[in-house]
Amino acid sequence: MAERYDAAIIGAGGDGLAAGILLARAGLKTVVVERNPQPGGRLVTRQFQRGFFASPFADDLPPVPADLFWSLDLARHGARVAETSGVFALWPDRAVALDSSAVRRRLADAGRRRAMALANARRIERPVKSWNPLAQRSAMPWPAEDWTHRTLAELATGSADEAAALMAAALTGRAADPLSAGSALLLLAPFQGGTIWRGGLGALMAALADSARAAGTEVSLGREVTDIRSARGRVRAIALADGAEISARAVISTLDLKRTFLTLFPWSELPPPAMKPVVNFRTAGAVARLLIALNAPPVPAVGNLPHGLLRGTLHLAPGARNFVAAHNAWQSGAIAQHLPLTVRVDSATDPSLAPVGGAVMTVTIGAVPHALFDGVWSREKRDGLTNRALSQIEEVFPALASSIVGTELFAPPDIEDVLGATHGDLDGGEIAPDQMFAFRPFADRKAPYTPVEGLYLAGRSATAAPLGGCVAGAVAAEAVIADIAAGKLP
Amino acid sequence: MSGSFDAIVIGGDASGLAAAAYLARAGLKTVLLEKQEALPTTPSPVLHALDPRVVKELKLGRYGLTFVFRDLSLVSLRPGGLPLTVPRDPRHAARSVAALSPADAAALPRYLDTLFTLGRALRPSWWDGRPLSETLAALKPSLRDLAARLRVTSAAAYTASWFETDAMCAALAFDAVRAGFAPTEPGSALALAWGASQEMCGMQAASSLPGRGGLIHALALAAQKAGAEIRTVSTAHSLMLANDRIAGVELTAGERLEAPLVLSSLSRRHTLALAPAAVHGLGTAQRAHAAPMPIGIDLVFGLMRQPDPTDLLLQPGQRNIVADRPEAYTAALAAARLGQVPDELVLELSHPAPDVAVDALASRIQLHVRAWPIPADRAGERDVLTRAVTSTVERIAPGFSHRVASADIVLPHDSDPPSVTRLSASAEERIATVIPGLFLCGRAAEPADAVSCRAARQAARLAIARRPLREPQ
Repeated sequence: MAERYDAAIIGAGGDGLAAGILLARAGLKTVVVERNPQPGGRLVTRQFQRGFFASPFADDLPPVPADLFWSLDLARHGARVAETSGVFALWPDRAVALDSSAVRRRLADAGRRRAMALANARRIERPVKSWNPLAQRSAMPWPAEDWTHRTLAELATGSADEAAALMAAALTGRAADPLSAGSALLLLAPFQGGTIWRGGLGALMAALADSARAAGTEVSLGREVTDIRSARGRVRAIALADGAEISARAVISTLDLKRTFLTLFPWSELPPPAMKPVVNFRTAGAVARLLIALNAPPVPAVGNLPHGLLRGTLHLAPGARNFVAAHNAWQSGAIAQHLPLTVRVDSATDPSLAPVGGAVMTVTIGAVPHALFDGVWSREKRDGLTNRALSQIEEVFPALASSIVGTELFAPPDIEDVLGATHGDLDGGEIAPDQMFAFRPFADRKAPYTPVEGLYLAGRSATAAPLGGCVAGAVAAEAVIADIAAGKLP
Repeated sequence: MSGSFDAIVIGGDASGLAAAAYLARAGLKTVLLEKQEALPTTPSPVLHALDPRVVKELKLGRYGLTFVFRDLSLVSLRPGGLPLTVPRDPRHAARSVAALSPADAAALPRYLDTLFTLGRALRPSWWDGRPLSETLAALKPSLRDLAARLRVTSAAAYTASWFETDAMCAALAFDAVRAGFAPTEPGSALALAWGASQEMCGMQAASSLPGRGGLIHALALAAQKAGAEIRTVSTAHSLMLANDRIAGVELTAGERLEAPLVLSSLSRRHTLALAPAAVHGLGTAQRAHAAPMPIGIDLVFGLMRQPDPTDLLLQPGQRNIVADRPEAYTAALAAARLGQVPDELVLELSHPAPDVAVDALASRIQLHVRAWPIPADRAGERDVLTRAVTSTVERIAPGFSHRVASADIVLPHDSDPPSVTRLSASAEERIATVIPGLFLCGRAAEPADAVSCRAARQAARLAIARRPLREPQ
C-alpha cells in the first residue's frame, strides 16, 4: 500500500506551488505532481536563442496580493519586481501615453472593482447540502457585477486615441467584441498589465520552488496524472502514467475546468448533471506569442517619444474597428488582416535577458484561432502569421528586419500542448459575464469547491484566477485546511 | 398661429394613439401629431402581444379590434431535413421534438416551465414598472439566482445548456432576435424570459390595415371618442423649453403648440434630437463610441399562388424560422457588424390567414418576413435585402425565387440601438427623459422591442402624475 498524503496537487505552476507552500506550512503532508521535467507551467523563462531569454507564454502575472506575497515568503527567495513605465499606444506617426486623468480615473475604478471582486472570491463558502441545486450559493450581489452590462467601448474614455489604447489594454491576447455587453469585464481582468518580475517569470517560479522546498512540500517532476480515482462521490487517489497511485485525502487540480473533468475522470463516473456545466463552459483561446531576438534595440518611427516608451507595454496601432474585424475573423477560424499586437521590449526593463547590445522583444498576438478553418497549424501557416506580425511591427519600428537574430512563435495549439490549457486558452475559459464572478466555473457553488467531494479546483478556471496571481491556489489551500480541520475529509 | 393643450403626443403609431387615448380619458386636452397624411399602417398583420389591460380599458373590442390569428407554433425550417415543429402546448411540443432527439424532448417541458415561471415572476417589473431590484428581492432564492444568471448569459449559451441538438438551440434562441437582441450577446437570455412573459398574453396578430378591424383603426377611434385631437401632416420640428421644463412643440409649419406635457413615441435618440442642442448633449453623449448594433427589418413578399397543399412556407398559424444552427447567428452578425448585408440571413417567415391578404384575389399570397441582422444604415436598400432574403429561403425551399411577384420593405420603425440593459431598467428609466415633462411612450420605452402599448399606458400614467400644478390665475 502506497503511503497516503493529506493533499495531492496536480500541476506545479504558480497556483500549484502556492497551494503546496501554504498546505505544507499548515503541517499537512503535501505532494505536487508535475508533468513537465521542471516546474513552472506558464511561469517559465527560457533561452530561445543563444544568450536571449524570454517568457514564452506571458510577460507578467496578475498582481499577487501583498499579504499572499509575504506569506509565500517570495521576497526572501529572490523574487524582485521590475520597474516598468506604463502603457503606450504607438502608431507609425504618433505615440500616446495612457496617463491622462480621465484614463487614470477609469483604470483606478477598474482596480478598485478588481480588488473588491478579489476579496469576495477569496472568501471561502462551503456549499451546503440542499435538495435545491440553486439554493447553495448566497444570492448576495458581487462587487463589480454592474460591469457585466457595460461594453468596453462605452468605458473607453478620453480622446479617440486614448480610447483605442484603453480597449487594446483590455483586449491584449484575447478575441472579444468591444461593442458587446459585458466586454467591460476584460478591463477588470486584463491578460497583460500585471506585475513584471526581474529575470522574467522564470525567476518568480524559482522563488516559488525555493520557498516550496523550504516549507517541506514534496515536488514530484516528470510524472503525468492520468486519472482521479474516486469512490462514492469522494476523491480517493490520483493515478499516474507510470502506473503508480498516490492516495490523498484532498486533491487540488490546477488544470483548467475542462481538462480536469473531461480527461481525468472516466465518463461513466460523474453524474450527467455534474458534467453539464463543464461541457458548456466555453473556452476562447486566442493568443499567440512571438519572441524576437534582436542585435540592436528597436527604434520607433516616431520622432518625439514619450518618456520611458521602450520600458512600457506598447499597443501597436489599435482601433475599435480593427478589434471587431479581428474578433469576427477569429470566430470563423481565420487570421485577421490587422492583428491586435502588443509588444514589450523586455531587455529594456531587465538587461540580463539579452546579450550586451542586443534586445529581446515579446509580441502578444490576439485573435489567433486555435483551430483554423482551412486545416491544421502547418509550418507555412506559422510562418505566415510570423511574417504578418513582423510586417505590422515594421510599420512602427521601421528598421527592425535588419536586426532580427531569430524568432520563435507559440501558436494556440503549442500552448495547449505544453501547458495543457484547453484550446490554448490561458484564461481557463472565456471572460464573459456568465462565466465570471459567481458563475465561474460553477453556478451552484463557489470555487474551489467542485461537485466531487475532496476535489478542489485551483488554476485558471477558478473564480479568483483572472483577478490575481497565485490566488486561486491559495484559496484552494485554505479551503483544504479548513475542511481537514473541520473533519470533512476523513 | 399657436394653440394651448394639456398634453401633446408625437407620433401616430399604435403606442402614440394609446398614449393619447389614455391622456384624453383622464380629462386632459390632448393633441396627437402625425407627420404623414394618414395614420401609419403596414401592409400586413403584425404579430403583437397586446397588453390585455389596454384592450379592456380602452374598449378596443367595441371599436372593432379583431385578432387575425393567435397561438402560432414555432417551426424551424432546415435545408435537406424535416422541419422541426414546436407547438405552443408543451406536451405536444415534446412529442413533436422526440423524433429529433428524445433528450431534448424530455428537456423541453422543463425549459418552458422554467422560463414561464421566471417570466411570470418578473411581470411586476416589465408590466407595471416596479423596479427590478424590488421584484427580485421578493422572489424565491432559486428564481433570484436564475434571474441573476440570465441577466449575464447569452441566449445561445443558455439554450445550449438545455438542449443537445443545434436545431433546437437555434430555434429557441430566436426569441432573442424577436425582442431585438443578438442571441450571442451576454444578457440576451433574459429576453427569453421576457418572450415568455409576452406569450402569456397569447401570440396574437391584428391587422394594421387602415380599415375597420385593425389595431390602428380601433385605437384611433378610442382616442377620438375620449376627446383627443388627431392632427395629420404635422411634423414636430423642435421641442420648446421654458425654465428647463418642456413647454411645447414647434411644428415645421411654424405653428407653436404649448403644453406642459409631451409624450413621444419616437426613439430616445430622435426625441432628444428635437431638443435644443444644449440639452441634446446631456442625453446622447454616452454611447458616442459604440457603433449601432444591426437591426431586424420587416419585409412583405407577394408570392404566386401554387396549388400545393404541402407547401411548407404557406401553412397558416406557423412562425417559420430559418436558423438551423447557432453558428448561423454568429456568422450573420459578424458580417452585419462590418456593414455588409449577410449572404445568409436569419429569417422568420409568417403567413397571414388568407382572408386578410391584401391582394388575395389577385392570386398572390403574402409572406411576412422578419430579416436579421441588417446594418442600420442599409435598412432602406430594397433590392439588396430582397436578394439576400430570396437566396436564403431558396436554400430551404428550392424554386422560391421564381415565385416572388413583389417585395416591399415595411419601413423600419424608428428605434434606439438595441441594448440588453433596457430589460433590467426600471419603467422610470425607460420612460422619463432628462427634460422634465418629456416622456417616451413608444417601442423605445418598452423593455424589449414589442408592440404591446404597455409603455404607452405607463407613460400616460407617469405623465399625469408628474403634471405641474397650474399657476393660480
